[in-house]
Amino acid sequence: MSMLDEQPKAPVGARALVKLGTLAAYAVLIATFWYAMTVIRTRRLGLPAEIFASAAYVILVGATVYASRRAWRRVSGAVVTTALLRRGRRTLVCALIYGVLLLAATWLHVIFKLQGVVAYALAVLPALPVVGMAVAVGLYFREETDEFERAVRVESALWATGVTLAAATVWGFAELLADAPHIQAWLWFPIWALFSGIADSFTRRRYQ
Amino acid sequence: MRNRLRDLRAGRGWSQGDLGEQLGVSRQSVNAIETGKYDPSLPLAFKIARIFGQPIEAIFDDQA
Repeated sequence: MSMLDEQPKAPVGARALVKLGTLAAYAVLIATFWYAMTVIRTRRLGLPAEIFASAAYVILVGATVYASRRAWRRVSGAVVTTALLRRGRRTLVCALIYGVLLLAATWLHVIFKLQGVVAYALAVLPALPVVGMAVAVGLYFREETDEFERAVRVESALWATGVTLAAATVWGFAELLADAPHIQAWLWFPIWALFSGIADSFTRRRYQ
Repeated sequence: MRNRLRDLRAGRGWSQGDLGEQLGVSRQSVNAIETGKYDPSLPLAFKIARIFGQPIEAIFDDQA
C-alpha cells in the first residue's frame, strides 16, 4: 500500500480522445434526432419505417451512452457511487419512456392535427419523463452519501445552471435583435446536462 | 484547512482507499481532505477523529 495510493490513470491523450469521441458521438446523435423529427413531422417515411428507425435510434443511443460511460470510467478512474448508479438507472428509464412518448405524441400530432387543450395535453406527455430526469438529479443530491462527491456535483450543477441561464438570455436577445435561429425551449435541458458534464470535469480538477 | 490526516494514515499503514472504506467515502474524497482542498463536514470530521482516537483539533488546524 503506497502512501499516496494514486489510482492509475490513463494518459491525458487517451482521456482527451474519449472526451472528444463522446462529444462527437453525441453531436451525431443530436443531429440524427433533429433530422428524424423533421422527417416524422413531414411524414416522408411512413409509419412502419418510422417505428423501425425509432427502435434502431433508441438502441443506438443506449449503446453510445453505455460505451462512452464505460470508456470514461476506464480511463479516468472516476468514482461510481451507489447513488450515482441509481441516478443512472432512473435516467435511463426516463429516457426510454421519453423516446416512446415523444414518438407517440409526434405521430398523434401529425395524424390527427390536434389543437387546443388536447394539443397542450399531448405536448406535456414527452416533457414528463424529462422532468423525471431532473427529479433524478435532485434525488441523487439527497441520496449521495459521499459528501465530497456530492459537493463536486452540486458545484458543477450550479455552474451549469448559471451558464445555461446566461446562454439562454443572450440567445433570446440574439433571436429578438439579430435574427439568430430559434432554439426551442426543450433543448435547454440537454444543453444544461452538457454544461454540467463539462463543469464536473473542471470542478474535479480543482480538488486534485 | 491544514491537517495531519496523511501522517496519521501512513502511521497505520493504510492507503487512501482503506481509510475511505472505513469512512464510507471515496479515495478521491480522502485525497481532497488530505491536501486541504476540501474541508469535511462536522460529522465526517468526528468520524475521522474517532477512527484515529484523537480529538478533532489534534487532526485539523483552522489557524494555519
